[in-house]
Amino acid sequence: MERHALYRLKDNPDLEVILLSYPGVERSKVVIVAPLAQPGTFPSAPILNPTLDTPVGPRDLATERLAAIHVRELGTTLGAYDDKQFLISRALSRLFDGN
Amino acid sequence: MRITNASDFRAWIKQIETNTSLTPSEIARASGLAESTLTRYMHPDYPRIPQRRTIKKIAGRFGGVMLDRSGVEEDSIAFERRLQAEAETLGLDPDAIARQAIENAIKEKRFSEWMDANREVFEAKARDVDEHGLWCDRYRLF
Repeated sequence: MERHALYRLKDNPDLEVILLSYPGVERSKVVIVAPLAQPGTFPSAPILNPTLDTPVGPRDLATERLAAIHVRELGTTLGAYDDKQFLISRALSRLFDGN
Repeated sequence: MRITNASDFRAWIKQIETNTSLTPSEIARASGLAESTLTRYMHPDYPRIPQRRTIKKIAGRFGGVMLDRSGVEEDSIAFERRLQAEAETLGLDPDAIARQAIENAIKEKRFSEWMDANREVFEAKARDVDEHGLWCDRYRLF
């Protein structure tokens, strides 16, 4: 799996998620993912919910809604987000450490 | 080497790094200081140097420095002498403890202000969850 890969869920193709667990962890059959939302459709807080410029367009990261799901729930891949600006790391740091 | 400013201090620590292959954290630990002691001082924009006794501890372990205080802005946190002595007897680093406490207080205050500034967003998030539940309810493993 590619780092920060985007997926549609198999049984809910309208829902896009981004892989947060590091590639390789899926060998445990579990991945940590967070849902993505079209900007403006999700109440976003600065830093915690950055807008990511993904291969399928801008998406808000619903960081606090991340979850562990079985890897088999992942469907089509939509490419990967290149986190050059470390927006995801900063969002996770705000979520878990308050930084 | 003579330390007259923050750049001199960084150059000294880098020289120790080169000579010993130790990281700043390891240099601090080897000098009897908290591992995080040198972190801020190694940032290229940080304008001050540590307190004299911190420099003395590093010099005592690695040598190679003279401190010239003229024009030097030292970091200093004043403590009651008895507290200072007791802490040092117990092998504690009061400066590091105080810095950590201040950093924690700043962090908590900043987070609290951020929460206050985004109160309406969090209320909207809560309403959304109440109305629609969580996307992962049927998937989640913890």
